[in-house]
Parts: sequence; structure tokens; C-alpha cells
Amino acid sequence: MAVIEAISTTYLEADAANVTFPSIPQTYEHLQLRYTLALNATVNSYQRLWLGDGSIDTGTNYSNHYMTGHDSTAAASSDTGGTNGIYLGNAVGEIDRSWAAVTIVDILDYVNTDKNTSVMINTWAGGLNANADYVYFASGLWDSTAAVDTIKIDNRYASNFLRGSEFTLYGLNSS
Amino acid sequence: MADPAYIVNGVLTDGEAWVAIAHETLSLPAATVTWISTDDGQVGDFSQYMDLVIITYSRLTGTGGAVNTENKFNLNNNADTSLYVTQQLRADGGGSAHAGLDTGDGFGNCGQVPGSGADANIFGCSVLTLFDVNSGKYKSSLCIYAADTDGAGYTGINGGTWKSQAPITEIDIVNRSGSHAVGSTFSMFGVLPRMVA
Repeated sequence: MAVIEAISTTYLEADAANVTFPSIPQTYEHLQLRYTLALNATVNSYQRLWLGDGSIDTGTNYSNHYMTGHDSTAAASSDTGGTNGIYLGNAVGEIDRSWAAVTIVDILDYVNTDKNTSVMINTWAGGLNANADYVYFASGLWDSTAAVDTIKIDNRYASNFLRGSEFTLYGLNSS
Repeated sequence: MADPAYIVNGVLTDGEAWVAIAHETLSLPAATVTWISTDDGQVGDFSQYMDLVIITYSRLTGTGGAVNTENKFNLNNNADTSLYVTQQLRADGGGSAHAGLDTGDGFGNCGQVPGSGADANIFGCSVLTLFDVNSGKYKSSLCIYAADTDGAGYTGINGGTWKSQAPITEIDIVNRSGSHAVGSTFSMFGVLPRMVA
């Protein structure tokens, strides 16, 4: 049995509003989502993570807690009960299509129905302009004990993911 | 030439997504740790991987220098000072938060480590991920590091970009304040995507 398996890779051959991983096997201990993405519009947008069991929960059952580094400013903030899921960091609107935001999300013990689901997020979104160059370290909570079998990533604002963006979901096995 | 482990009897399979590519435990001080893609379709060939992950546990050799110093990485022997960008976010030894944007250096930052002035036997940890290393995107990285030096030290996260669309074929880990000390370890892993529908 492999320790870490690639469950699914989505490589966008056309611009897309969102990426969904449905029917996630319930056989792993943990999940890890890794992606590189760019946006197809000039609008800056942060990415959102939505979780679900059978269908995506788009309600107000999410909380966020995060630290950011942007130029010489270190900041921290949080919110709860909002309508935007779990924040994954901020990708930069189209400046140069070669820039890509990179993110790792760890989703732990996702099948346990006695625990709410907490995730850990690391993101870097460069671009060398006033709205870019954010490094982001965060936690997010889905305030539900349901198992996670569906994951969706989308944008808060009017942008699509640019062709060439790539998303892979990994499963981590225990002994 | 043998097939990679994910090709079984000529058939593409999805096995271990993380592949151990290389490991170094220094028996002598070294100014640079270098990995070059073998370009042969074997484990050491970077061209088959989506991401590369480098885990270091290191410090500098000698005595009397700075307590903390920064490890750097260089890609493809490219030291063009206009191409590397690093955004730092860290907690300093005094407990304060710090952020800074570094440009104009021909290297990426891969985290603070104990320098030659640190107490003996203290090493610093870092996990550096290089993303989508064979794509036409600029090559971006995330590095998480921890380097407490018993009264000082740093812990933080760096985001970085090498503004080149070239595939990564060589990685150098250096420290311009000195040499990596004996006992420092450097491990590299390749991360595969899902390959079978």
C-alpha cells in the first residue's frame, strides 16, 4: 500500500470557474490538496475552499484564522460565520500569465464523524505589484462532523482559473 | 535502462506519489549541496515530477559568527538578480512578527538556520516545495522553516518565485555566510500527479 497516493489531478485545458473533486474515497487517513493557478481576468480574487458530504455546503458553517506577509506588512485576522467558505489566499489578476499562485492544503482526519474538519493552508501569490506578493498561512474550520467526500475550489470575485492551472488531491495512508 | 517504479510491465500505474530522489548527510563541511537532474528517465530525472520537495536539517560550521543565517537556493545555475522574488513572514527571536519582500538577489530564500555562532549541536529545519517544476509557469516555491537557537532564532514561511519558464534541472542549496556543517542533512523528494484516469 502506497503511503501517499495521487487521487486525482485536474489540469485545466480551458479556463474554468471552479474545480471540484467529487466522490473522494473514504479510505485514507488524511488528504492534501496542492495546486498552482492563475486567473484569466484583471480582477484580483481570493480562492475559496468548500467542503461537503454528498453535496457542497455553501452555508455559513466556516471559520478562518490567518496570517499574511505582504511587502513589509505582517498581519493577522480571523472571521467566522461568513458566506465565503475557507480562504485559500489571494491570486493576482492577470498581470503576466506566467505568474502562478501556489498552495498546499492539509485536510486531516476527513472521514471522522466525531470531529469537525480543520484544514491548514500555505499559499504564495506573487506578481510584483501593489496587490500581489502575499504569503499566507492559515487555518480553516468546517463546523460540521460530517465526513468530507466532496471538495470545491472557486474564486470570490469575477475571475476564472486560467488554462494551465493544475490541481492534485492526494490521500495519505496510515499504518 | 530500467523503467521507473510507476511503469509495471510497460503499463502506467499510480503507486507512491512521493518518490525519494536523493539524500545527503554531510561527513565534511560543504559550501554547496547540489542536485542535477539525471535526464535518464530514472528516479533522479526531475522531468517526470510535478513538484519537488527538499527537507533540510542543517547549520553552519565553525564558531564565532552570526547566531542565525539564511540558507539560499539557486536554480539551474541562474544567478540573475532580476529573476528571484521572495516574500518573507516570520517570527523573530524577540517574539515580534516581521514581513519583507526581497528582490535583487540571484537566489531564493529557504529559511534561517543556526549560524556558526549558535550553540553546538543546534540545527534548523526547513521544508521547501518547488511547484510545477516542468511547466511553462514561473517557478514558485513555499518554504516553512524553524530555527530556534536557544534565546534567539526565527520561524517563518517564505513564498518565492524564480521568474523563468525553464524546467528546473539543477538545484543548489548554499549559505553565503559559510559552509553547511558536518551532520547536516538534505533530502529531496519528487511528487507525482495522478497519471491513470
